[in-house]
Amino acid sequence: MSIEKGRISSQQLLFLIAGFVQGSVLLIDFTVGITEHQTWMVILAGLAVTAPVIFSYVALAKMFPGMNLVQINDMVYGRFLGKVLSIYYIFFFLMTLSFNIRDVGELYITFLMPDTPFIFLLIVFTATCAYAVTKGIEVLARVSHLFVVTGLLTIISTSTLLFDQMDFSNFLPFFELPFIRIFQGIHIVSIIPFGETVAFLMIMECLNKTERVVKNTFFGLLIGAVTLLIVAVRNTAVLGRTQTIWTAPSFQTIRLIDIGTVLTRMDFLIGIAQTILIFLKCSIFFYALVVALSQLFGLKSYLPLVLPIAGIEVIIAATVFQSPVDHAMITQNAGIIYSAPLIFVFPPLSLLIAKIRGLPKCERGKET
Amino acid sequence: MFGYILKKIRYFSLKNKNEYMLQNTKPGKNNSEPISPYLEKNLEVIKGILRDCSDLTIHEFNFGRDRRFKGALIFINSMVDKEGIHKNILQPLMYDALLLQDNVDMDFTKIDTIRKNFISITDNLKVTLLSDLLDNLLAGASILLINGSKEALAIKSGKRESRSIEEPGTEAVVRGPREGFVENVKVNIALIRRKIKDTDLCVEKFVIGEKSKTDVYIVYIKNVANPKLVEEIRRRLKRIKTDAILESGYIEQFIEDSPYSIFPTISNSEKPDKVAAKILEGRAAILVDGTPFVLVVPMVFVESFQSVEDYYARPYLASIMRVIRFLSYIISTLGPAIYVALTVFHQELIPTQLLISIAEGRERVPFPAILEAFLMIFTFDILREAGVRLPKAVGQTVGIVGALVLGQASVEAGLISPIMVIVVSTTAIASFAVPAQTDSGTILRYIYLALAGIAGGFGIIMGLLATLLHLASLRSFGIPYLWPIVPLDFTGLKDVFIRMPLWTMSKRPKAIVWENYDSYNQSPGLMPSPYKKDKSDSK
Repeated sequence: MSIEKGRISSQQLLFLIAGFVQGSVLLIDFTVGITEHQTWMVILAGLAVTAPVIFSYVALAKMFPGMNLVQINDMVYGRFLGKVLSIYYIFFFLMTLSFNIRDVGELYITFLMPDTPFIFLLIVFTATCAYAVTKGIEVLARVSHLFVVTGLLTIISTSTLLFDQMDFSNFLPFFELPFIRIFQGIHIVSIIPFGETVAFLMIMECLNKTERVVKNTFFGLLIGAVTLLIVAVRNTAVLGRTQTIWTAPSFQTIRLIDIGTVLTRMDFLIGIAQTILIFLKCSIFFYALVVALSQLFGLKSYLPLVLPIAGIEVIIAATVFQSPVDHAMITQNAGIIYSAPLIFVFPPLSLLIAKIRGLPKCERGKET
Repeated sequence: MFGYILKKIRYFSLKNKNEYMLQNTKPGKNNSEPISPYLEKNLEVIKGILRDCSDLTIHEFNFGRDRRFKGALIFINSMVDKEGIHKNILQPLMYDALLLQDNVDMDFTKIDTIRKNFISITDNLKVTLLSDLLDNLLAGASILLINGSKEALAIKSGKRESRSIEEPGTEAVVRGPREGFVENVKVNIALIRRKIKDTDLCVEKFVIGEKSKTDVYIVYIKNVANPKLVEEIRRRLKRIKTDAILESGYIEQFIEDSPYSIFPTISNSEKPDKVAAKILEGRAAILVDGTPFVLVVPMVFVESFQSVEDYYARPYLASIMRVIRFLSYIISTLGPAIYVALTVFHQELIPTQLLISIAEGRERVPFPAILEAFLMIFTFDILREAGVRLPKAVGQTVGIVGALVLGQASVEAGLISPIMVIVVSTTAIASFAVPAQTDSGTILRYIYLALAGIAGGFGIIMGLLATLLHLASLRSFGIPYLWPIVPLDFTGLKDVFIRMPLWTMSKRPKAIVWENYDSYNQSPGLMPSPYKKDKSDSK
């Protein structure tokens, strides 16, 4: 039983993944407080650590074509254990989605619209995501390249405009920080932008062809990683050591743009780009969540779940943290621990077990 | 609870459908009896059915050798060309037939004999059913009935008043043909045929409307248009069961893909050259009798921003104009919304000098910015609507009253800030730059304004995202509405934001044309180059 009827091409998957990783541009700020001017190193290391794991997701999706994560879990671990694992994944999707929704709210409350009620922003944003999910993954995949291009253009143009204020001696000395902080930074980066792509295991079932998926996934990751890298390098080069004291270094950096007193206050640009990218990310997570839930409950369509889940998400997002600082602390220290096994352990393990048990053959017999 | 309501709605719609079916299967609705061989009986039946039609003429006459055959000519005298009838039907039958030699024995009870030997009007048709007879009679044909024949002849000798071919009011051009479609569909087909003299040009006829019996034609080029598209149009047209089709808008609303969307998924035009260009791209045109507006399917969103003139002028200015059209659509939908968002929510984004002047302007204004904007847009829409309907002379007065009273006086009275007047008038002008999307632009303007008033820039972004997703989910007869932007098609992008030179566009649009047909519409490498002297020439 496959719930989603839409079909996406592997080229669209490239843009979905790129946009998904770009959506975490502001979340890099979680790392900056820990890794300071060595953030760029951490991003590269995070990509290097996560890439093999993500390729294991792709291998898993290719091994079970037309099946999503919940179905794969059922098949690999058996009915009971598989269900338990799926519930763990659903919990992860639920929490990560609410954190991301909260991020948008915090972004606007802190920088752009301080007087607007927080919950109102969350409701409007979640409603738009819900609308996107009801339209299906196919529509989202079709427009994803627009989001990615907008994000890239904004980031590249702002970096160009800031070129005169960059000081590359800010990167020195190269290996100043203790290794344990770098390690924590790598852990955060490898989970928050890159590792969260585990949600794509719910989407890869819609691929119309499984050829070239590895290549396109890699390029998608690369585009996302390059975007993150440009942002990290720009912030460090412009702000130097002071970047650790700002709530959002990206915003502070963009605010320094001043071309002939006309091009000033460009931070709204980054606000727009960030909103639409995080919207893409949230919609993908939302989709993964409702499809996983409806698969778990054996529903024929995920549409009846969209509205209730949206309500639950808004409530979790509004109440889960006391403040942005609380949010950052929990994510830095606790969030990455409970999500690590889901990202680094189970998918490769599933792959291994499936290989040993020779599952793809059984799958065909069962489907018919 | 929603499930219950949905069930109720479905129940009522099914119930209505059942009632309609019952109503149409009642006996006596259809006159599908055959024509009887007795003239008297036929005339009686026809007189009985059309007894309250004072413009019905039944002319009985005798003809043939010794005038021993009886015949009758029936027509509606307001719809036929009487002189033509006298000259081409009655004269040959009543006089010329008398002059036949004695040895020629013709059986005048055979309709075919009369048709082949005497009737000099080419547009005629044999009918055997009473219902067909009546249909043709009411469509303006003259019916020839012969005593002893089970068939009748419908001779289309109709005259029809037709407006002369003029420049259309909605799509005036500076350069390009000035002819436009008229109300007579036959003339319109001729106008298209004169542009495309191809054996593959197909003209399929449908008659739609229980009472109006309107002629509807599908015009397309066989093989260039996707056969699936044509089949789909036929299917959608056939399922229309209504009393009357008075304009092509009726057809449009019965066959469009997304009836709830504010965006049109079927384009219309009054210009033969535009319609011909679209047919050549593999689209199909739907012509409806009685209106100069021709429908073209499928439609894509960017089509609204293209004008035929873009292709007649050289590419540079055409490209600039196209970008200006896109910008003006954005201004016309987002102008007031951005003004409200900036002045209410994001004052820090406005440069200080401008902010001071805006604040000065708004000092005396008693209303919040959102209400001010609503008032002005609303007033503008009233002015526009009134201006369209009024006679020309009065229309100018309305314009002056609008400009002076609503512009200057309301600012002086302190009701509206001067900047607001600028914003709304710019918006108003911009909204006319893209005529095909004026409707959707007007609605979107109100929606975005409301969103901006509620949630500022955030609301606008959310509204834009929802609009984008909605547009991306639309399809027009199987073609994605946002093609070639979504899904991305680089060859299609040659003709979206900029208009590449004609000699670069040597392929037909991939999404629209039938995939089995040749993809080239002109030979590549047509770029003009100055005459190069060969070696043999330059001695």
